Amino acid sequence: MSSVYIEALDASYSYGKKGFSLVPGTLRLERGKIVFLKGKNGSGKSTWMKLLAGIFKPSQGSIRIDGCDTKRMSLGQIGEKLGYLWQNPQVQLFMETVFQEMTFVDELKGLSKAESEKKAEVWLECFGLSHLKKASVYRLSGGEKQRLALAVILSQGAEYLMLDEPSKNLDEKARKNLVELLKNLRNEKQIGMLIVSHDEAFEQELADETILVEEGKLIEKI
Amino acid sequence: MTEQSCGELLLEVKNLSFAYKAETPILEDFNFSLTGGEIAGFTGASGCGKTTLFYCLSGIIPKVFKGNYRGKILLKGKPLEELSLARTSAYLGMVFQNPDQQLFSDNVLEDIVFGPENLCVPKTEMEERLAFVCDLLPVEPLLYKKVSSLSGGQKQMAAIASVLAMKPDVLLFDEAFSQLDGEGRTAVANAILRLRDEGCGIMMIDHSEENLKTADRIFRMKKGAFLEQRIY
Repeated sequence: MSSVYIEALDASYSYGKKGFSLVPGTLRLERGKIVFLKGKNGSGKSTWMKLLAGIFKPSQGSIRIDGCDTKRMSLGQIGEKLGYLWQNPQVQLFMETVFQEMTFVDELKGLSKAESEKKAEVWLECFGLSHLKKASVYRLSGGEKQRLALAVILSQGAEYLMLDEPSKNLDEKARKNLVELLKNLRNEKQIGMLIVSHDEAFEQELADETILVEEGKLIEKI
Repeated sequence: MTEQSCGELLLEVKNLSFAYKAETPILEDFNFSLTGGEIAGFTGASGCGKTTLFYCLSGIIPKVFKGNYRGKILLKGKPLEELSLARTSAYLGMVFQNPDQQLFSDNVLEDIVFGPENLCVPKTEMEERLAFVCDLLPVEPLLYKKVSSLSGGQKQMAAIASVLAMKPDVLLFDEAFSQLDGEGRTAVANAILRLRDEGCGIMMIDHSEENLKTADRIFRMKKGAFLEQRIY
């Protein structure tokens, strides 16, 4: 099994003739490594992440996830391989209650009700959300929504994770919990991760590599 | 922002209690006051009631979000329940945790001038306010960009700019630094200090006490009540 899980080959993306464009770049993201993307606001970090995740199809070059060209993959097929946390977790929460949000994907995948509920209990406990399992998702605080989105993503056992500002809105306890969880996933399950974050302390605790993004260009590993 | 002096009592909260559902109180018997030229910081675990407090102070609770509400809030001596949300926004501005909730114009410039236009601020004054905001924050490069094309941090900066253009006496910042890069944080932190020196009363929510280091007082909230207060 190759250690490279995601590969960008001279790839770029453009928001249109007058829009922002990424400068073509080549990058290899490996299993079992945590890579941070750093750069100023508007430099293209989230755009690179969406391109590497296959959410955007490259306007030039190619992106491969586990050897497959993303131009030939549906979002569903991509979703089976990697987990994506959006910068605004609200966009990926849509069920009525917290518990329904946790069980939704597993039920779609064919897990029995009993199995999906048992699994949901475990992950809600892990993220300190058990007491909110019957709560409306819309009533959650920003930090609680962030934790719920993370719980859903991490519970799916993806081989690679893309996390856009995962520590944003988290209190100290939740943050520490997340750092430990991500370290365990890397060390014990060889899960690779690409993280966009302005949180320098978070980066210091987790990053194996950091790549600087400047005006759409992948500048260097720092 | 009307002419005010430091030390003017801008906000008074008396025995504020709120619960979205009767069995789960979020705020209990909360008392607080804010004067001009003061920065108060609020921190605490997720879900302890920080944003709910800000919703109460801005009138969003109970006018938009309903629940069991008791107590009194006075904004510049006026009972908040007697002010419409539009009228309140002339005195109090809130920067939401999620900037997408408060940006809705086509481009950043239109979003910044939207509020003053609706309050019938004269054109010359609107231009002055725009210049004021561009002087405070690095938003000039963003003015003609489509809001939909902005990055998360750029949206947060645009949202802050649009609130400051209203020149309110009281400013509420809910995790305003969360998506900003280093330069952006410095710019907003300096803007907050400048507004404080001009007599604004400022309240800030943040999980990071580093971002609250300019606060004169920091309140740690737990289950809707003060747990500790540090005064600097």
